[in-house]
Amino acid sequence: MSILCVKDFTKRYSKTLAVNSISFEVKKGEIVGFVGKNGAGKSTTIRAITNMIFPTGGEITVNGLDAQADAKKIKEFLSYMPSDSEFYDGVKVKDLFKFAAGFSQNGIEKANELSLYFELDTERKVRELSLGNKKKVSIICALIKKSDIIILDEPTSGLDPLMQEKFFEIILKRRDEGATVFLSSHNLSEIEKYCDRVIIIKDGKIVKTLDMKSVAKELGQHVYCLTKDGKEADFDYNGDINELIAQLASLDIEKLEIRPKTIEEEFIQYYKDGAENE
Amino acid sequence: MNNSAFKNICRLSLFEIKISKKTIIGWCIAIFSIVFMYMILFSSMKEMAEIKLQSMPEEMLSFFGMQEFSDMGNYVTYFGMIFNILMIAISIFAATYSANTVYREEKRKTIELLYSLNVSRGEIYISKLIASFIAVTVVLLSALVSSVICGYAVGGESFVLLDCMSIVGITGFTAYFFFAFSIMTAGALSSVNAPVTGSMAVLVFYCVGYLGTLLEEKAEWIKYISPFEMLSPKNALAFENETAVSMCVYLAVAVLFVIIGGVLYKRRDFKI
Repeated sequence: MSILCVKDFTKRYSKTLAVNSISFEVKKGEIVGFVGKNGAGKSTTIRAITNMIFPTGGEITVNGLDAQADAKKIKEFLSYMPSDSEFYDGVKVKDLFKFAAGFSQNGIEKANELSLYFELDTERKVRELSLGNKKKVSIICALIKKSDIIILDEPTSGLDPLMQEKFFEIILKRRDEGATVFLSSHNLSEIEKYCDRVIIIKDGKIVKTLDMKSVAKELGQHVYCLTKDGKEADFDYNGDINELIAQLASLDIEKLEIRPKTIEEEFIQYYKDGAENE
Repeated sequence: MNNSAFKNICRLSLFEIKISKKTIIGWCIAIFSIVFMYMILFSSMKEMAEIKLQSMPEEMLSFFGMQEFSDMGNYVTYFGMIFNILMIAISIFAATYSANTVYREEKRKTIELLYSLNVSRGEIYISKLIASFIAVTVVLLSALVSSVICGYAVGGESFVLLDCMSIVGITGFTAYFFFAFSIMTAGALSSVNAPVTGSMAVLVFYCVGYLGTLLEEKAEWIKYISPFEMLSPKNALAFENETAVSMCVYLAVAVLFVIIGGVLYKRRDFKI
């Protein structure tokens, strides 16, 4: 069952087409990654889902409710963490949590629990915090309430590896409790590690949707070969490995490297080539 | 409006006031001090002020609306003259403060955090409206309190509490008019620098009012455009039909501004 459904979503800013008729679905209980270069349309799509902006065309539904007309109802079961961790400068972290917690049940207890978990000093003013700590504040504000769907825009940028690990522990726990997670990120290794599916967007268009369970089998081998006469070959191979070795045997090889292709490499290829791979 | 929406609006309004309390307190202290500084010296300044006013160019007196206040021996008249000049500053405060409550959220990108909470756009807009209304009222009250304290101290028989209240209530309405104009601008247009636009509107309307009085019979209608002229302390004290009608018209226009701003705020993209 789809909890998030984006159908032919288009967003145009005067003459610029930011997102061009994209469609995808996120099923209940999934962790779905949304990757793409800067300016590819990730944040625009997420902002339209959270009603920060309005679509020029298309339809977005969350749990069957229209993302624009029913935005308030949707917020009862949706949490959102923006990519920019911007806060009210003069406010103390604890006061910000108190304010945010006021809009959900048991919010302040949850905020205190998460502050301890992320080792965040709530007595400090927001403007005194480092980027990483600001990110923690942003994460805690989003996770204060128990939601059916959690939307995170670049949640781990600025966090140290230990905190990234801790963050995903929480996300996996929420997923196990039944939540659906939709997150954008530039950290391809975390996408590879934690996501069930990945949607790749380039220049406002979805170029590929990868199912992480099956994609590893499909990736094949990466081959690098240097012959003694100086000819070089660097390619991906997805066929029978014995046939490949038989063909390579006829060459006068100086250096040969055959290794399984990583998903990160596949992402980077889509980042670079995009639709040409389709 | 259900109970949850009401609670949300209260929380948001209080938070808005909390984050801008320094600005509000600063303006209150400034306005209180300026009024106090002038009014406490009323008895000693009245003669000096008359001499000074006589030496000033007539155009300048007219521009600052001081021509109407020839009786410097009257505490209320003297307060009216001071308050009339202060209204430019208070109106600029009203315009910038109210516009900033909406505009600043998008400029600093804090709107993403605010709107990620379980609140609607309408609740955010209304809370900004309430916070701005409270801020403008508090600043106006600081002028009134200051004038009342000085009135009891040095005003003598010419101090009439109700007259001072009328001046602050009626002339002070000008600030609410600009607050409504600015919050509409900020609510409706994300691409416009609403605080600057609001401040410019204050100055334009003030000059238009002055132009109306300058042109007198040739184009007297111009002054009807400016609340500074129509709701001047002199008119507030006289409170004739024309003033009452003007106030009703400005109130209706202000309400219309607020509604337009709210409707468009719900339908536009946040600029982030």
